[in-house]
Amino acid sequence: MATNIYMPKLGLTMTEGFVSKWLKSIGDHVDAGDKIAEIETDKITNVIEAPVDGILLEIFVDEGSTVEVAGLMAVIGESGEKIDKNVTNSEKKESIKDAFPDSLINNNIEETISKDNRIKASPAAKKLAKEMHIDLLSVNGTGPGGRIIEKDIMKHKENISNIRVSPLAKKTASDKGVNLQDIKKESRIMQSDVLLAASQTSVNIDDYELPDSNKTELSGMRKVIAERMSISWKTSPHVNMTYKVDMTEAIALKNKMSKVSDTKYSFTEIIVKAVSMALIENAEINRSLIDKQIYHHNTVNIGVAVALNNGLTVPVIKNAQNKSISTIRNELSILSEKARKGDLTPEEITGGTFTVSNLGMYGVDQFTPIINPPESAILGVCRIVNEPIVIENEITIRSMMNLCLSFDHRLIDGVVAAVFMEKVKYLLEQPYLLIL
Amino acid sequence: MSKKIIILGGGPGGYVAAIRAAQLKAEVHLIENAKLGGTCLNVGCIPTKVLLHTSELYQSILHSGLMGLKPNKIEIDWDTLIKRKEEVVSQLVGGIKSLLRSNHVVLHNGRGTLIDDHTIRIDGKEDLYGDAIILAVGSVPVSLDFPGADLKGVINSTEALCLPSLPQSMVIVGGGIIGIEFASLFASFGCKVTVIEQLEEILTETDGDIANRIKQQLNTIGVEFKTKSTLTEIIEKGNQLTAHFICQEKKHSITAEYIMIAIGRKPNTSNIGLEKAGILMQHNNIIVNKNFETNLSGIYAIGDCNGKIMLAHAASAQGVAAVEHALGYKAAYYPQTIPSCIYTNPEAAGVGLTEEQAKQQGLKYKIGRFFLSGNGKAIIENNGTGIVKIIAGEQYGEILGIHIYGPRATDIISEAALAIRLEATEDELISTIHAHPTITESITEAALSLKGMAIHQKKQ
Repeated sequence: MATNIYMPKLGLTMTEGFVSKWLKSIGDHVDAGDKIAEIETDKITNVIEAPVDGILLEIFVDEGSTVEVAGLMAVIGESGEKIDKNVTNSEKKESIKDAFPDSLINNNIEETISKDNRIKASPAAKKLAKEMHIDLLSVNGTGPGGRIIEKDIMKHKENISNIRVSPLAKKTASDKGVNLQDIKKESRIMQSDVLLAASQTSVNIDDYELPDSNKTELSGMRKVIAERMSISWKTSPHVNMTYKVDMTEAIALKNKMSKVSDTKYSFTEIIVKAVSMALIENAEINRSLIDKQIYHHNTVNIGVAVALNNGLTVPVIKNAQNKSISTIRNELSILSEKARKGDLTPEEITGGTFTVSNLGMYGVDQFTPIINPPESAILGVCRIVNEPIVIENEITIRSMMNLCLSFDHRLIDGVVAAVFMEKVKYLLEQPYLLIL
Repeated sequence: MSKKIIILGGGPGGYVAAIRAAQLKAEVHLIENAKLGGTCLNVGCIPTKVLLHTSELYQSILHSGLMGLKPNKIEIDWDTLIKRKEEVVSQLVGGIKSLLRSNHVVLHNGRGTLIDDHTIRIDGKEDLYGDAIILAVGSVPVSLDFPGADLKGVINSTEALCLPSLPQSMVIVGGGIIGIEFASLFASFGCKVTVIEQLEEILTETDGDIANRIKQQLNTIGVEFKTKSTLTEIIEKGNQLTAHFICQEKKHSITAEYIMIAIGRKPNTSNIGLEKAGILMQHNNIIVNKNFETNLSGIYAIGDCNGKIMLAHAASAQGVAAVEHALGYKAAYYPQTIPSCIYTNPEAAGVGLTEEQAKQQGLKYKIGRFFLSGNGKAIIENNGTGIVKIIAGEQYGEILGIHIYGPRATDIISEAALAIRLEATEDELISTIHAHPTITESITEAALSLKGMAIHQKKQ
């Protein structure tokens, strides 16, 4: 029997993947585990492996095109076998469940899908339809087997919203990222209306004399970072909070641990440990807001930002709440190494519930990190510097460090964040609590 | 109480403004000192097209042997043609008169002079007061001052329309649209025509691709061009006139029966009290804002007299916009949709930017061309002479300009104007299905050629 290959869902917010390269051609024999395609997803280029032995019978997606999650990409089967392009819902759901973090499986997304169970639609399309209050029954599907895909919802929305717009204005709007629905106009929307709207939201490049520059396309990891950070900044109201933490004891602990185990420890794993413990106690931080649903995560998965030559990636320490500093350290060192080589798997960079970004080694004293969606908070770690501090009316020299928290005020209020930060500070100043 | 609008001038600007103002329930007074219809109807567009139409028929019949006709004898009956011209004109003038009457526009026959921002005096005696005044006084041919300028036989376009007989030879000074249309007219009737133009090229406002083709086509019917040439003097020699001119510092001369001066037109703004009333002008052009209002509030100037663009259809559109504004309505006037037409054989028409203008404005553009030699209907009608050229924005493919040279180009150009008005891109021209067999198919083909996808054109 033929086996369908779908675009996997490699992250909670992933709605589509970009097929950058087919590694096998139609007619090639593949063994289970053979790499058949490269896809670009959040932050990395990932490889799709053949799940079974057989012949690559059909490829439905061209190189360089984008496919929605769970979209049919290829079929593997026996030579001469007939291909059924129609995809059953259960098959699809199986394929998209794979990469969800455990904590997110028992949630309301399933409910919305089951309601429209008999209508063939991609998850992205369903989500979009729900957002736009569109009845899937009224939408024409143009995907494989008549499935409704995201594009169909957009098309439908366009048809029903009755926006009168000139073809040039439409092209300009799509190019400049202007939402036509945001333009309030009785008569037909013309290009000048779109340009006006664009100029109100962004720098109008036409009015800007460019200095001598070389131009390159925004692509790959940079594009993903650009998109995710813009989405974060546009959707989450960020609040920033800075705490000064006395790291004198933590330094002592770190040095002791390094010495007795003959292994080099860094502050990152100590801070990850402290944050994990604090998150268990302050579960309101460990949540995500997705599509008007609040996800209460049952595990603490800490993403740690790793700088790369051409960008950055955020490998995730899963179940950090159960892990010791030394386990965290070992995992981090493996993940960082893999990150630098570009070998991270999708599982290793998704499912995060909180991110730590350590710029301490670069002499930073203060910064405002941007939340990595759909997480709700990110902790910026600054350098440690010796400062005169007053303790019991005595000036003493202590090793001080700033921790900068950015949090999403839609889910987290100031007091909640402060209580969490108090806890982190307390744990780092009494670091032996971290190894009890 | 309804507002009172006074319109000075009954040309295509003034009479259309009058009817529009009447539709909007104003009390309208129209003052005209000559015939209704202005230059366009009486001594411009309409009479020239009557003559051009017959000249085109004449050419067609002359060459009809190839089309399967054998006319026994063909003669030009100049007197009948001139009579027909007058009949067409008077029919249209009569039509305007009855339209104005049916709209209850009060017609004043006389010469109006502006007194102040609300007053027009007719023939120096009767004063009319209005809430708004529309100046629609048109333009007159520019005359040249040179030795021999007032010789009999040195004529302007108005006089060229009522010559007693068909001339054997003619020199036309000026290679603009008027000069070129008259060159086409007389040369088609077998008259030997020479065009003297001061600039390097003729039809400088027209897209270069089109202008070159017109020049070549006129060459084939015997028109000679003397470009970079300046007229210095005209001397009478018996029944003939000799035009002396300088070309690249060398003296030349040509002898002909008539010498027509067609170096352009100027606003007809003298001696109607404008300066005294305080209307701001530059040279002879009345300065107006985007609503066609002058520096004096409530006084508007439309059409040729504001010097913006001297075309009848532009004047009508401005007239409508001006009265709508004067009566408190929001007006729509899109100058980029004004087509420009040249009634040569075949015709030429363009709307939007020429390639030269696009280049000058520093726009990033692409060009689509389709030659009518690939169009069935054009081959039937004129052996496939002509071209459709589209200038489109490089990024979005929006239509910046369309230029057509071919049968009935002046009719076909309206599709292009509509495309510009609606901000269409190449895609809409491509996806609109054009009837077959028609010349208009070439618009789709030219749009396709923007993408290198023209069907009836050899692959480059």
